[in-house]
Amino acid sequence: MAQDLTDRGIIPLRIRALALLTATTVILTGCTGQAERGGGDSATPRAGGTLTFATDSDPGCLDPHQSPAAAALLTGRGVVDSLVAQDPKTGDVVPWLAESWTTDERATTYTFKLRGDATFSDGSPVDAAAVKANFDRIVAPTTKSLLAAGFLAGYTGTTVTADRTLEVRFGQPNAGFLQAATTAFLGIQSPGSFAAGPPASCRKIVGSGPFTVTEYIPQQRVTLARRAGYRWAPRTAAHQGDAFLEKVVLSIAPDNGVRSGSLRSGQVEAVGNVTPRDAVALEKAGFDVQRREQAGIAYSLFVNSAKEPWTDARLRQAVAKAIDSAEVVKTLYQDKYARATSVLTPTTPGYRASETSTSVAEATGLLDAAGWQAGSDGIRSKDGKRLSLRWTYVSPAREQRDLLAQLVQQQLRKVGVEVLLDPAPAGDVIRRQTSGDWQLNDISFLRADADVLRTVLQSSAGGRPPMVPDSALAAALAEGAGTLEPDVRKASYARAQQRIAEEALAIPIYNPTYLMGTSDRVRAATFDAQGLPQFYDTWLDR
Amino acid sequence: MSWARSGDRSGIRSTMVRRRLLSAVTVLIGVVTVAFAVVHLIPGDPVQTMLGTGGAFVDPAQEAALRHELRLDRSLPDQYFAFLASAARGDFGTSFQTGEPVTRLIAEAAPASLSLAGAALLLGALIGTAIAVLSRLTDSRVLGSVLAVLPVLAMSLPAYWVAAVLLQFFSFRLGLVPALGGTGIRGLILPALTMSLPTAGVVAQVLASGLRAAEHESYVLMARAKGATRARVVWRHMLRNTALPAITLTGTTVGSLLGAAVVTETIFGRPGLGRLIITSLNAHDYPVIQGVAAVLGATMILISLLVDLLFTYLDPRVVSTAVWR
Repeated sequence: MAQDLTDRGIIPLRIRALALLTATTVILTGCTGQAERGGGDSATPRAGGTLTFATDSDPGCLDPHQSPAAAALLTGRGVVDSLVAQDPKTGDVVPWLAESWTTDERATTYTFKLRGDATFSDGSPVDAAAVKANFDRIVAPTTKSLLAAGFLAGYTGTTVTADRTLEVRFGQPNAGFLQAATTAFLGIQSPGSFAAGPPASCRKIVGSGPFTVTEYIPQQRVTLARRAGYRWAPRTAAHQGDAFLEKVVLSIAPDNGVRSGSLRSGQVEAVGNVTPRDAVALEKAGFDVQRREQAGIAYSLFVNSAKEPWTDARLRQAVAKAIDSAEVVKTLYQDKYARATSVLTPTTPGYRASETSTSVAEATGLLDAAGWQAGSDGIRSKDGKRLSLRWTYVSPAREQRDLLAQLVQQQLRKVGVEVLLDPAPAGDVIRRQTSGDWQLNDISFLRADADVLRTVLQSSAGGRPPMVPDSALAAALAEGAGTLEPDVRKASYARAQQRIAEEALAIPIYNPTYLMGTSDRVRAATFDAQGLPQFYDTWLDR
Repeated sequence: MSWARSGDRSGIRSTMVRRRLLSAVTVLIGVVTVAFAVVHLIPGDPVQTMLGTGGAFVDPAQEAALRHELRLDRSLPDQYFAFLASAARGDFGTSFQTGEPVTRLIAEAAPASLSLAGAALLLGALIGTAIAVLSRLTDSRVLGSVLAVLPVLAMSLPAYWVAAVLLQFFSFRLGLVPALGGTGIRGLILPALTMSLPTAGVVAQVLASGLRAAEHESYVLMARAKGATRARVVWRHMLRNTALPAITLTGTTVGSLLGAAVVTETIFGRPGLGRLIITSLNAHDYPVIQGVAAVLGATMILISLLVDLLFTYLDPRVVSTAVWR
């Protein structure tokens, strides 16, 4: 998601009455986060045609086993199937390549029974041996997996018990595995394609999905072609059988203005990662803008509660109350991104609203009570120490997060808290995060499972200090990670979110939202559970 | 030009080429060393950057294995000499991101950048010459002052702005050329035009002032006296004499051309060396950054060598005064 630079003042094209009508519907439903489908669902889908989709970034490597990039998911999702699928509406895990599965109580052994008819596009069968080859490959050091291997934390091996049955085993509980198995990161690729080595997979992946990769020109485009004879779509899909689109061309255009201009001038049918400002302009010009809140950790600020004086919960609560996230989303994101209502986004299974109300008066009261008095320049201090926070954030920033930092700086100044802005290269920010050398920090994280709270906020891998050290939170998250019992998980994650809000361990700001602009020919442009566009059900009207 | 013996001149020329090549190798080693140093000075660790926030998922043993796999666990001098030794054989290692040989990535990206830079240089020279000649030939006061301002404008407009305006007008409004993924000449026109402007500005300014100064040279008066038309004098006599500084300066704009390539290639969604280096920088892909820097450095050195050589053909004095002895 690139930074929104400027609206280039493009003159609106013809406004079609029908398109305007659908766009309005999208705005209305969009407010409730339900706008997952383009207009005209009632019509009969038409097969054929090429969808050109302009996206902002090149995956660099197409193989989701290796690459951690969302761009690799966007291209890979139509090409590789997964053992299980996740319903974008309910978050439920449903059968896909595996028709059934069981797990032991501690979530250490998963037994999958595969369906009998699935084949890879190279003709080989999707059998238990192929699945084993995939998981073994992901954890092999030579694969240099940057994310997928992490989902298999504690993996001790896969046993093929029959042609179509297998057991995946972990040395420690891994309740997050099942949801992770729904993503393309753990998608099942043809073992035949592994022989050429990981670099070759970066150029072409072979899976059992409804599309195949026919062309990849780095930094320019990825072309996917429909595969004939696809019969194993999960029931979360709107249809069964072959995909409707004959070809999908993912054209890479990093510049926001170029992407929306290409849509307006009819050079492409759909554009991804539309900026809120461009979304407003596109809607005015009669285009549909689909929005989907992405699952995972909302864009949130974190005050390092291990550092004095921020060990005092009152100070963190004051900061949380002084930050007006409603103003942030209105000013910077034209309300196209919703204000966050919990550290998890509403599309994440296990989400529970746990808000902190904005109140400058309450914030002031808390700071006064804690003994911090305003000095001559308005900044509070106590025992000769100024109440200030250094914020090291990634530059160049995406989603205008640099402007957001300035706005928050102004908001906190009103209550006497000083924020020192320190833009830095990504590597530097990450180094500070992992070493604990930070005061104010901001992140968002894409993953459709509440366990993301444990893996991101509580990770102490390699002896690094966890981002949010809190024993009550740790207990709630450990309980959720140790079971697959839906009710127990739900309750423990509700407790975790409550704890985070009460103690102001995280200050949620906005829900990262994928905005997709489409022309009026595009039908059923939908999102997967991760919140990324998928093209299997999409079709083009005349 | 009959007074200089041609055999002499080619001897001097080859001495010059030898010496310049020798110094080029030294400069090149300097360039790759600086590239290595700069890459390692970028704050942040490549492995942690690659893992990103996702690093939270990866256990330390995996991280260490990755570090070892990428040979980042060796000492810095060790990495440097290993890099120099393989670079001398034309091997820049493999990309951290994809594991592919850096030379392959460069070979893939280079043709697109070369054709873009070549087209931009050619276009820049043509536009610049046209402006300069026209400003000398015109009698219109208004046209004259417009032509005097154009070069300054061409040099000072930022590439991202020019690209946006060109796209807006020729692609989005008129639909003459595709904004994305254009191939062949149609895809090359707008990006080449964007990148040609600084070169056009330099050429126009230098040529125009040269032409102005040459107006009162005796050879011009002579030609005029013999009855040559004004246009013929400018084309046949004055241009050749004033071309030298313009050519040198065109050579020096190649550097800024590469800078503009980063912006231009990004906006037009074209593959190329500029895109390659910017994505590698963001990803801390050390081998690719070093490889591209070395190749670009070598290109710059080669171009300045060619410019010097071209000089010896255009101006015999360069050789006869034995600057290169």
